Amino acid sequence: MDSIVDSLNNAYQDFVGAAANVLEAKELSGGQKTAATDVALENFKQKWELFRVSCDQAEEFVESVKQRVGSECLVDEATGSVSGRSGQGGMTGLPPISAVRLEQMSKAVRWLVIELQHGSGSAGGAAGHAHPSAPFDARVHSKLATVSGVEDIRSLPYQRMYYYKIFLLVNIGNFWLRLVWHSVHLLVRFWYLGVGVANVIESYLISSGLLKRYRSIDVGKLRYLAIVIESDDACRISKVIQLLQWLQAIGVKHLCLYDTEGKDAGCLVKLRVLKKSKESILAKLKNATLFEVASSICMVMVPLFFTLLPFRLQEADERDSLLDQKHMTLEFASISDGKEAVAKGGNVLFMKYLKLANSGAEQKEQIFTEANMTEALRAAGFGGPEPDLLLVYGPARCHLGFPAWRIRYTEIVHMGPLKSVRYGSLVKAIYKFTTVRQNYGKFLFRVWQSGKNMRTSDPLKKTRR
Amino acid sequence: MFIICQLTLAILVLDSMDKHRGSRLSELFGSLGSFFRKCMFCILSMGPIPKHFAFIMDGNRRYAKKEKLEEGAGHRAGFSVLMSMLKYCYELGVTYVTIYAFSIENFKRKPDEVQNLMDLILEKIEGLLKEESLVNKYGIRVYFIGNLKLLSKPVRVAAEKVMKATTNNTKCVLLICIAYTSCDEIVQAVHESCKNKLEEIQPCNSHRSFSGRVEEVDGKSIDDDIGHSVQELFGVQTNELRATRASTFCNDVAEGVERTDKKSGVVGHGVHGSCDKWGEVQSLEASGTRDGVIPNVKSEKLLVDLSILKVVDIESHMYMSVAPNPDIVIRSSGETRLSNFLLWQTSNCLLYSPNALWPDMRLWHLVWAVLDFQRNYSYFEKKKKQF
Repeated sequence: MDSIVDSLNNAYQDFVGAAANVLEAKELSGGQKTAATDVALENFKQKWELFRVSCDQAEEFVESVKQRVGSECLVDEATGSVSGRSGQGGMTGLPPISAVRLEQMSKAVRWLVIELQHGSGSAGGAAGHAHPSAPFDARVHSKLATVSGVEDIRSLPYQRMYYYKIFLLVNIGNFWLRLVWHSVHLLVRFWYLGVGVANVIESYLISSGLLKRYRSIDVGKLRYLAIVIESDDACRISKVIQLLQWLQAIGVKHLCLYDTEGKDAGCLVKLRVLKKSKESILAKLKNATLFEVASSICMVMVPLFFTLLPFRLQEADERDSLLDQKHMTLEFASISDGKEAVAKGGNVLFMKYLKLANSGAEQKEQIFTEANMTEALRAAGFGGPEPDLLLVYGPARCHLGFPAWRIRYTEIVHMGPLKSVRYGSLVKAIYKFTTVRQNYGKFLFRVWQSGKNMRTSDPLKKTRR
Repeated sequence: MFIICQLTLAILVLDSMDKHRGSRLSELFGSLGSFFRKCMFCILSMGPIPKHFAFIMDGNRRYAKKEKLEEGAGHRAGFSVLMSMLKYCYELGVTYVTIYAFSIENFKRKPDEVQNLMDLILEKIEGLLKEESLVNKYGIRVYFIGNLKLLSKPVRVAAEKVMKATTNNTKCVLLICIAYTSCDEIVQAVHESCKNKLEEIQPCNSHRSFSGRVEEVDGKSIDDDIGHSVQELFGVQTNELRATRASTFCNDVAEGVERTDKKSGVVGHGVHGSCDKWGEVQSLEASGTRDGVIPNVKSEKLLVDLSILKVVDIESHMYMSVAPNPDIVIRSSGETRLSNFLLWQTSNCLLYSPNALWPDMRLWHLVWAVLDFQRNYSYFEKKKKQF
């Protein structure tokens, strides 16, 4: 391409030079036809032929490039006047030429040449031919303008149409894909709607006691229950209290309420801003006692309600103290009980590590064990028990940063949004836990969720993993 | 709607025939399946695609029992499903995939079972190095995450070889959790952070103030100021420290620490902060002096308040710090617990538990997980921005 541009450039310069020579010769001869003017004209004709050949070559190249990538990717154009650009007399440098522009230039030059040929045939010579190169260039430009006006109209629609078609195709394709995507999601929503309706019906059947298997639940297996609530939902005090009352009725004794911002049980922020909401909770849960166990844990002791319910609560295996039998412990936790707590536990270990390092003890690396980490967390005030079951009330199944150290083997069940909390769903979740759980070396019972119950017993001792 | 149903049906049918390759007809079905799979992925790509998938491959032994296969066959079947899942993930545009290959708890299984698993793992790790493997096909960088010291030497060496061989791959990342539990990861991260902090604190030996003054202070042979203050906090008392010297002391320590390297800023802050804390606590006993007076306090609460270790320090030393937090964790076989897997990293992560055993996992389970993710995408993005 560079060679073509070079040769075109040189041919053009020679052609313009030859045209200038013709005009000078005519000037010198005073408009008469002399040997000098003949020579000049002959030279002009040769240069014109050469320029035409270069134009043809360039045109062929441009056509081939157009077919491949389109002429519009070329930037800049070489116009007649570049003296202002380079500061030098002639055209220097090889600026890329737009193929469309090139075609226009070649046609403009051809027309001018034809005009000159007609003009040089007349003896008098038009006043226009006596002009110096600047007016000559101006005439080239004017021709160029005429040609380009015609050419632009013809070339633009072709390129524009091509890219417009591609643009349309891509957009139509994207539109249809997006439509299909939305349709798929609509189907998924219908599916979940159907599942929700089925859950509501099942929950009603469980609540009314029609489903026999949910009538007796071995709550003793559920030693510690945790509930994760969306922080926005935590302000729905009535729903939270209703949930707590149901759990109390089922017989859950130890409960942890968690939400990321610490707004548990209705806009609570740990122990610091609790009074207003705590009072309303305590008022609803009769004879509850509030005391502080650690900086991050608020324990509420609530007496068990011995109400007339269609459920039979099994006695706990261990003989609890009188206080524990009559009360439910309630823990509040938030996100600061998670990673930050681990960092604080880490600081406790770091201090011990430092002490051992200073005393030159070889065993300093051995203090980093899981048992020591648990102790360090306890020392830092974050030693809550590991829940057996974690119920998530929110739009998605996610533990939302519940203390990682405590949910190693916790069953995580999604219950849906808090606003649609149902007693039957709660019972079902706890029942499934008590039947699905491995009983630490005894027998394994499995309940398959697809609608048919398949029980297998494995007499081999297993550790839950 | 009709097109969607046809597409879904085609994918279900053709995907189920993936198992039975070999004949020309199967190859034809395979190509058709591949075409429909790409169509489905194009549709899914209209919504947000998760960047990081994590798999807990549960149910291999139950599958072998169910299909009456010999021991170990379940895991081999699970491996072929894993390869398919990885292929689907990388075709979909998922950048990071983490798999829970072997837990530290799994070492408690029967020794011959553990040995069989290790042999299978070694065989498959060596297979990753082959030219035609998935790793080379998709330009996957492989990390082995976990306490590799617990592995036998051949497995460890092979793992390190694969990690080194794939260092230059940049398109996708595969993280294989082997000899891993989340609690062990946290403990190791705390350990590394403590070692780091100790190294940052200790090389102030050039400072005479750092060690010299301490020896002067109470006549006991104590190595450094921090150790001295730790002993204080653990109940050692001294009345011989002069407040002015101590305050210069603390400033020197902080200054010296800050000169070590760029991380020292944190430590320096921590140390200086500690000095301030001690000053606060000692305000009752201070003889009119400023910061740095060593308190006569035995409270462990103060230890906690010193906060030399931060959450960012621990996170930077986690095994999983090489990848962002996962977007979806899929545990097969319907189990709803995480079993000590990525507990730290899954704060804002969708947990999905299909009922299928791992060798029964198919493309549509993956598609369903992605659809679930897309349904809850805005919720999780809001959560990530909050915390």
